[in-house]
Amino acid sequence: MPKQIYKIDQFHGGLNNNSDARDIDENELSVATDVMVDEIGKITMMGGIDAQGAAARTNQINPGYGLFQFSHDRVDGHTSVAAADDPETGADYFAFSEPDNAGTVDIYSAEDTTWGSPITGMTDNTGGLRKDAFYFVDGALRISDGEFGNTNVNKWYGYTYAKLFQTSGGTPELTLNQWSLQNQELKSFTDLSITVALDDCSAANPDATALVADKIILGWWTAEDGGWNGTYALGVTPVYIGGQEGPITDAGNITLFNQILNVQVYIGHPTIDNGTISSHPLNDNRIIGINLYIRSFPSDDWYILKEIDLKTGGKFGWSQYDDTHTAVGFWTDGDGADGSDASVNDSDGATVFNDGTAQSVAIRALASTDEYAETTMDLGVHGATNMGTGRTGTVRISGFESVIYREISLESTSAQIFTGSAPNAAIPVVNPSNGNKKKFTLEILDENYGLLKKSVQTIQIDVDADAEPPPTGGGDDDDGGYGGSGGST
Amino acid sequence: MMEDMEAAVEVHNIINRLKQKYADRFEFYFTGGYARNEKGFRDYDVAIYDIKDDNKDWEYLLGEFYKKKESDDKPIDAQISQYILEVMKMTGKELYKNRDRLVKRYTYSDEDLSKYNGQIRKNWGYVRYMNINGNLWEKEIMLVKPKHRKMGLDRIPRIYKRI
Repeated sequence: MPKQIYKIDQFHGGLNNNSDARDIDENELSVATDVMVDEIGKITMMGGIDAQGAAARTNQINPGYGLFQFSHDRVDGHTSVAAADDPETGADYFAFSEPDNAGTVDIYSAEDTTWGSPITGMTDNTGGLRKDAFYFVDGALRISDGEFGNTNVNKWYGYTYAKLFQTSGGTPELTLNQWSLQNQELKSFTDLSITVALDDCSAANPDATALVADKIILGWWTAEDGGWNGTYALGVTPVYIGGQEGPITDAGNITLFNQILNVQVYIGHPTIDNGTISSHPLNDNRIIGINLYIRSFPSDDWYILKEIDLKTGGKFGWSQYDDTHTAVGFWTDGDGADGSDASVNDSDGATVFNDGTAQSVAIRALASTDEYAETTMDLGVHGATNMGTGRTGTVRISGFESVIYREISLESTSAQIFTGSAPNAAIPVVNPSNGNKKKFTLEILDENYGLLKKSVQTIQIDVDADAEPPPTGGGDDDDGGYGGSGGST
Repeated sequence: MMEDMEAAVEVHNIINRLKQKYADRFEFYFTGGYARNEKGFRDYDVAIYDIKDDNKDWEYLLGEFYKKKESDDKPIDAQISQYILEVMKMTGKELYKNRDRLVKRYTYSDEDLSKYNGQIRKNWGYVRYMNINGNLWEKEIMLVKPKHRKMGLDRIPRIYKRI
């Protein structure tokens, strides 16, 4: 019988000196001396032994424990300095425990040929010398003391990079760009020594007494015509890098009666001023968000309401707040909105709102007061205080054939009159049916359509014998309801 | 930072079920009269954004909302609108500039939406329906339709409240 060729060209199964040589897989080796087969298709020499080059370090050791090697994109891992902005050029490190009550794990940087002791706090030796076990994943080193008679908690040591509390212009109030040491446990705010409290902001924002460090304030207020009805508890959790979440901290209860609930988050910090802050106000550099939860009292089930990003915040980013701002964001009436045009008299012949008093929102004139007339309305809005840079709101007028909306500035303290040219031209409207005292509701709304100001104005709408009411219903696009052909905007 | 919150139990129940199936793939927002806190709002408008932009799951997703009503007996109107991330950043002025732009929404119906009351739809110049597959329909519409322009909704930022 002629010989057949049996080709063996794979060896990446490695050395198998346990099984008989005739029983090993065809990609395994029965003998291998000073070679490596860890890369498919290659057999390479194993290499030699060389001195590692680290400077001598005199540490007490617990034999079998406490030595670990890792590599990281960031250099200077042997030291933790705030705002270090360590380059991402890469470095190799040794972690070398000092297992006595010094409580440190020393780090040697091969790139800097320097030792440091950035990992501290593992000081308990009551059970004996520490038996540190290391684990490196996702760019962070974890250290756990395997001597369970000790009370040392697990440590997390990694590089933290985040631009937190960005203002509307994108400028961060806090830039984390450094090696950080934290306890590994993902703690609740309570366990991080952060107080979480509710603050009724119906009349004023949090005052000097409420504003302290290590505190999250959930400022809340209500608006009418909402769907919340009952007693509710609010709670918050920290969100750590990677999206991991700590336990809920209960902030307390609020009671609502068919209302809309508004919540504003304040985070206390002792060093905030006109510039930036230098340390994480929530006591863990890994926290990048807060989740807001609610539960209906006395249920045990929490439901998430809002994910709050510590980087970008809400629509207007994050803003600095101190006790001089307790009145900021509240609407106060101006007096420049009303007019005395006879077209907006009611049947008593009175001027705007019947008493001629100054108003902060008013229909100043109607070009025609005939029923069903397609006409124009002059409108005035006047807030007396600046509610915030760049803030815009909406004025909503009900009572005409359809609800009317217009955008207004909540920053301006001047009267905003819709009577001139675009974009503040007089507003086209279709009058309602006739009546001596037809009611028109005027509402000033914030960005979330929360009510800031509400007035009801009565105007006489005259009979027009030739007028016909506008057609009800709409065209093809107003068939509404199911199937999504309705009128969402 | 502020956010107002209201209870819409059935909408939340449906969305919670969908999140169990699709995790965070879809973003859900209240919009329309309900989001504007209008007293006489007609229905619960839910705008949906698909991160994957893959319409093969859209018929099932929208079907979960189909002919559902809230606890106040008002209907739920859910549509997929892939343009909303852009629109929600627009100021009132930017929306006004874009008000004539044609955009596409996707909706569910077991009826022929290309007809209205059994007749071919009149061409109003701002709406067109096309069947994608099964009960999934594409609706092409102006960003702000004429009725809403009369209300001034082409001059104010459009509101989307994340659910």
